[in-house]
Amino acid sequence: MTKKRSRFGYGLLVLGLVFVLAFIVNLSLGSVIIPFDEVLEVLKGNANNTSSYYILVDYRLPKAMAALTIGGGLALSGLIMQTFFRNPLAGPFVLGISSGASLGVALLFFGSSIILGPIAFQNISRLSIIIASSAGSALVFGVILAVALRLKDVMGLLIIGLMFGSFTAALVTILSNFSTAEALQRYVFWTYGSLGGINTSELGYIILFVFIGFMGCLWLSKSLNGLMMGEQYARSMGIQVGKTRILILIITSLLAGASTAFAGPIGFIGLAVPHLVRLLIPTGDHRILTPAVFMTGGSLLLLCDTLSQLPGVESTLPINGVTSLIGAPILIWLILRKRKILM
Amino acid sequence: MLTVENLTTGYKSGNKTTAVSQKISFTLKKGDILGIIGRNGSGKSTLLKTLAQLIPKLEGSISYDGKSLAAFSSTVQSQLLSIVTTTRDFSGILTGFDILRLGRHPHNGWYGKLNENDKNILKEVIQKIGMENLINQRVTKLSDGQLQKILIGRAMVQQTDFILLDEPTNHLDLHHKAEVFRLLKTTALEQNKTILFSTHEINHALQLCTHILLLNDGEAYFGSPKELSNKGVMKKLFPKELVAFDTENNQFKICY
Repeated sequence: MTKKRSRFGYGLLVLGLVFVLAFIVNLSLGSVIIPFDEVLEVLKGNANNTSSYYILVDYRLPKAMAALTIGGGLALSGLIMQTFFRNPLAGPFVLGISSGASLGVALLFFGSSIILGPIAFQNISRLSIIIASSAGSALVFGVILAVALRLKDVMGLLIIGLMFGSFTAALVTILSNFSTAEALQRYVFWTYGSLGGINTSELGYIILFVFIGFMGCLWLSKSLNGLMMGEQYARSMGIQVGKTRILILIITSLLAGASTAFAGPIGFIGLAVPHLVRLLIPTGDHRILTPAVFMTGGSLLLLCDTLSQLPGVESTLPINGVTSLIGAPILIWLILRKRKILM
Repeated sequence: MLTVENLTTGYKSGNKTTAVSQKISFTLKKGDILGIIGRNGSGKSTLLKTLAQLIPKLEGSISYDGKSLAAFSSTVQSQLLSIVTTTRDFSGILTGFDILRLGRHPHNGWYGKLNENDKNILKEVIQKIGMENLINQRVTKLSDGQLQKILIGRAMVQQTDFILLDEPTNHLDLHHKAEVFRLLKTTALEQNKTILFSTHEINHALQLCTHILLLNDGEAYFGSPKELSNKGVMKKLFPKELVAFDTENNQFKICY
């Protein structure tokens, strides 16, 4: 058993190295290539006032930090949702949190273009998008929480979450039918996801929320490990399943809601990364899975962000397209190689 | 000491309550082995779940050393009672060792770290259940008998005064049945644990148990195997033209 533990430790170390590498490569590449050693000099604080300094500190560093925290946070909420629902298809958005956010943003775009006309529509600020998105997420979260307090059946909760998703998506479709072409286009662009517009004060909020989520996952890791044996066994081992359930809902909503508010609905990472990690480090121990999933989610989003704006390519690809484009083949290849998923 | 008085078990849904078995009363002390017998649907599993505080009781009282069991915190309850259920819905990523170490949950800190004492207990139990060579196998690769030994091992690792088991020998061949029953017996005798299990292996139960609880048509009968047989309770369990009770040998026999 000690042999096995050290193998998991080794896996964590490799993931950590990949994580650091992905971060530096992301800082280094972009429309202008900044060599590794120059990136390190800037990070050490030895190269102030150079053009590299401004590109890195004002633009790339906040974006890279956003990518790693949002990627890590989404992957973490996917992990705890999969453990909680004991369902490999669960992810951060199964509860309808991002659909709520989408509805909020759709109401903002479509509503203002219909009611206030094109001029008001042009003036929609980034802050109001963030507020609309958060309000939508919070609304859905409130309803889900109320349902969870009444309904003890976990699978029932999952289905109800999915139904909220369909319901809000339907509302968005109907709203879009009456909207202007500009509003529709702006909404569609929002759904592509974007890490570029995040400024330092927003980054502070993201880091705070993801930090709370990460610590929450570590705090819950003992209960999550117990839940791997099913609810009855978990309860017989003194785990307060009801309390754990509410905490899991809060953490997921925080992680999914915050990342959607600041970067749009970034899909795929939350669903795929936990599987990726369990295939690489086959364990059910959340004390190992939590850091591993966080680092892998962060690395994957950093990698996707790097690929979405390679040097020499003029336009930036939508991040939501790149995550699935890169992630799906990796996961398919791993599952075919190992012949099954591990849950 | 576990004292159950006038217990009614069953289910509540909304305002509707459905009683499964009624007027269950018994007292068990350390080293006792209670076999719960009865036909399918007679309420054996419901009783075990009620005792383990997994579902609420409808009426009556369950107390440990004179204090109501429900009044203890969930952590203390989990230090008093462990359970082996018939559900097998746990994750296939777990190994036998992963399951065993979860048994230390009620005893270790918030992070679930194992100390030397925990490790010694695990080592001892792995030896006792004879799973040294298979302990790092994933549960999906274990046979029913091996898995059952792991689950009983997990309950032993939990180091509770009471171990509850729901049909522990289901789906097992005679060899593994014998192993499981012997494991229960030695655990009760050597470690002074109280064991309560439900079973359809009535003849084996009559041989092994110090006490029997017979659930039949909503009624409950408690006593030593000999007492129950003397009272003629055993004969009520099955239609006598099909399964007869041999009072002399204290065994059921199928009539051909």
